[in-house]
Amino acid sequence: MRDWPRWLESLRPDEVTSARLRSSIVQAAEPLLKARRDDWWEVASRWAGLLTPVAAALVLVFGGLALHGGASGESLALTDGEPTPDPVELLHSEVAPAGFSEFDTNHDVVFAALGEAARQRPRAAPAPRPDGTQPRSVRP
Amino acid sequence: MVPTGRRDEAELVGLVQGGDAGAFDELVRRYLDRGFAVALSILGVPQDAEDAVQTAFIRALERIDQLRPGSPFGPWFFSVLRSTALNLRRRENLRSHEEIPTSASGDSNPERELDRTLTRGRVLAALKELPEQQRTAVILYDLEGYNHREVAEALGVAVGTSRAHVHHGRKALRDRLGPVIELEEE
Repeated sequence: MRDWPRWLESLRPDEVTSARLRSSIVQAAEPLLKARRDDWWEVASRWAGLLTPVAAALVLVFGGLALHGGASGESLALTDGEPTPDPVELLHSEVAPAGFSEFDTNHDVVFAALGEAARQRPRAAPAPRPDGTQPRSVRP
Repeated sequence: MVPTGRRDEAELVGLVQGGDAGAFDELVRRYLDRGFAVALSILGVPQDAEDAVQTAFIRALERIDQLRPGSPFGPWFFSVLRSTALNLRRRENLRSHEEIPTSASGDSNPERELDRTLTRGRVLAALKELPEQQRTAVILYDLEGYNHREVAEALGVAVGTSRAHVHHGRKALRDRLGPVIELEEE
């Protein structure tokens, strides 16, 4: 704001008047200011009353989720001790992972083993027909 | 209560809206003297000017929520003050300043007080003789601190017209008050 022009100095209140007027204004304003402070407090209290149940509900929901996540985290933590092999690496690796000591990538060997197992397994006798005859497949 | 220093006016307004007495006192301190001069230029009587200033500050406080965030307090307050002073003059059919002894100032030096009172009376009389637009332009520019663009907006005239009003108003005052007060050139 610009300085006072000299010709308007005479319209300026003297210091005593200025101080008195200022004090009078501030005094008259105090009840209004107090009402504003109280209003703000009421508004804050009203919001607090409104938000408390919401906050409590959120705490319950997120608390439940956190507990659930904690339990899952515990089971995960058990496997964390054992390093999980990367599947891609496994495909290219010739070393069998733990638990697969007889791992063999040769299909012929696998099929041969399966055939041998089928031969050695005793065949189950088919159920006799209702007329008492044996099915054709069953040979003495 | 927040301690007051030289704070941003928008911040002060925000604090006052929350009921901060220190911030309100700071606004009063900033605008009291100019407010008094504006009211005096309208009403012509110091006691009535005091009443108008006090009423205007209280009205401003009651309506401070109407002030848009970030808007300057000064121009808004002066518009409240002008309106208050004009209402006061209309409602109470105020006495002319010539009929009122203007010795109610608190100055302890009688000679200085008399000198001030006489000068004030002449300035007010000279202002009163100015055409309405010139008087308002001079008050807005010199007292309320408006620039020419803002004065033009307030009066609803072109910026050039606002400059002319301030120039001619000051010239008329200089002609009338020259022997009493030295008036500086624009």
